[in-house]
Amino acid sequence: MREFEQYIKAVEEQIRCKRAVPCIEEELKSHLEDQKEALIRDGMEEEKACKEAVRQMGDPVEVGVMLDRIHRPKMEKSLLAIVIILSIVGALLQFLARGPWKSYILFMGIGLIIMIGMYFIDYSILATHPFLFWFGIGAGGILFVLFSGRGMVNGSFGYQTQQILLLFAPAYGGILYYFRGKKYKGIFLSLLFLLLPFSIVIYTVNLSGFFILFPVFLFMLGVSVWKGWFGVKKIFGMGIVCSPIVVGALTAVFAYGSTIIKSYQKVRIEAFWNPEKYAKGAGYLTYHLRNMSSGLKWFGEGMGTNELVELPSMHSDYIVFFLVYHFGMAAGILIVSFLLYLIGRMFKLSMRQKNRLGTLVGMGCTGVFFVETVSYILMNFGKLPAFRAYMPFLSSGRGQVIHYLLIGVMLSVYGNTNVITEKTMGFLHATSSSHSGK
Amino acid sequence: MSVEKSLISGSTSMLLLKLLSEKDMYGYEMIETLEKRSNHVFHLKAGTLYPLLHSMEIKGWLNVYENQVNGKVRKYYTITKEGKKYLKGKGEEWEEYVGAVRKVMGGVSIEGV
Repeated sequence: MREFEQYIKAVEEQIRCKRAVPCIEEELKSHLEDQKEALIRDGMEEEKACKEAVRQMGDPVEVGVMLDRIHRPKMEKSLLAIVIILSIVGALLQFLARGPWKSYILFMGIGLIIMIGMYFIDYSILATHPFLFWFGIGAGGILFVLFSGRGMVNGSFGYQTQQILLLFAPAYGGILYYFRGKKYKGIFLSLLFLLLPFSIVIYTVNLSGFFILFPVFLFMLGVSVWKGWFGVKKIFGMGIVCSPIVVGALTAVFAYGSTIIKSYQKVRIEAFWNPEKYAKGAGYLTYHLRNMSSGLKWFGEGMGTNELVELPSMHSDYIVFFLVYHFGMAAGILIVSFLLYLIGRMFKLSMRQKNRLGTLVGMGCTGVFFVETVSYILMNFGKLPAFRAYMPFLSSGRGQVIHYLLIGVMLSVYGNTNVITEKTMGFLHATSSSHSGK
Repeated sequence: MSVEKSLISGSTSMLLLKLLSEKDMYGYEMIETLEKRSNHVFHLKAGTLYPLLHSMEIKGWLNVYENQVNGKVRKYYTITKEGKKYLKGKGEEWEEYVGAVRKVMGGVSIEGV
């Protein structure tokens, strides 16, 4: 038996990724046992059988090297490449739009460092300490609200906290994973935990934050229910998932008629439906955006109304429109499709995860990017009411660093596809007599 | 008879996938089955088998699960849809290869080669 241990140790020494080792060790040991027993059955004596079994395995160093090559975290280069390209494009756009390009580049540098740093962090800590992260992010958001000066100016205050709140999305993956298999109780508790970000968003009247985060939360919950991870009948489960939407819609209608929604926000909503009526005031942006949209060309500068309307906060809220207006629709479609390709890739890689936590965390990050991108584009062409928005990589804004962090989390998820399995996280046991829960 | 290595090496994945397309197996079982079915022509070393199995799992051709039989826990491999597709393609490639060799050699006879 000592020969077995020596052999396996020699193999393991070659494997750099220590997480993969326990699994390999088990398999090799099991094989050596089988081989030894077979030789004994053929008449060999035990000690000789041990030695022969080891010999038949082959050179341990060779085997170890082959296994090491296979069991390694790997950097998803396609994501990295697109992130870098989009960052450079963003810096360029900021410069051309006379935005704060210097601080953009500074935050880009910080962001890239954080992104690479996150890659080396084991994302499964979201599953081992789900509540720590959840309440920690909440505490961070609340502290930010308390200490970030006083007075909310048109919801810009809420906008700042929003960047921290985005971290709730991947963290929710940890929460959902924790409640897996816990049936309806699990679903209800998962919904209950949403009260934390919900109350922060409501308190800071951060409507755009709400409309980014909560579709993502519900989508993640829906995916978990649909894939049977809670262990309930799909129809009933999905019904429960949809109930907050109904409740939310009713609340919105109720809030509209009351004083919860500030009057300036009500005006904004009305101005969206009737921009001409409010053209000089709240509907200003929407009116002119729609106007200028009709003058867009495929290549080159578009022809708008007679005066080129300089939109306020062009570099933060309207950078896509800026891009399309000054360089043509073709340029806009090209760059936006890069971003959409990134999101598509993120989605595909999340779905391909064998580790359910990985799928959930990946979905959280992907969802944030997706909702932000789509809503920003719609808003830029007047299809949505004007709001303080952030376009990943292209617009300026404090959210920059957080977005690099989110990509970093995804790099960690995808990079560890073959290395961090639900078993190595310690959540599955070797004695399951059925297919390991996928 | 020991067959030249280069003839075997490229097709080991194909052979393993074929075995798994018939039945889920664990590592040791695959080596034994392969040896038996090939009349002792193919003797796969375990040190070659496991890296191959692991890399096929990563490629998505195999899935893994654990099963307890007679008190012993074993890691079983099962072929996936992609694995079956790959097997089919590789199998056709092999048929083409064998057919071409046959044509050039003018029929392989048992005596005298």
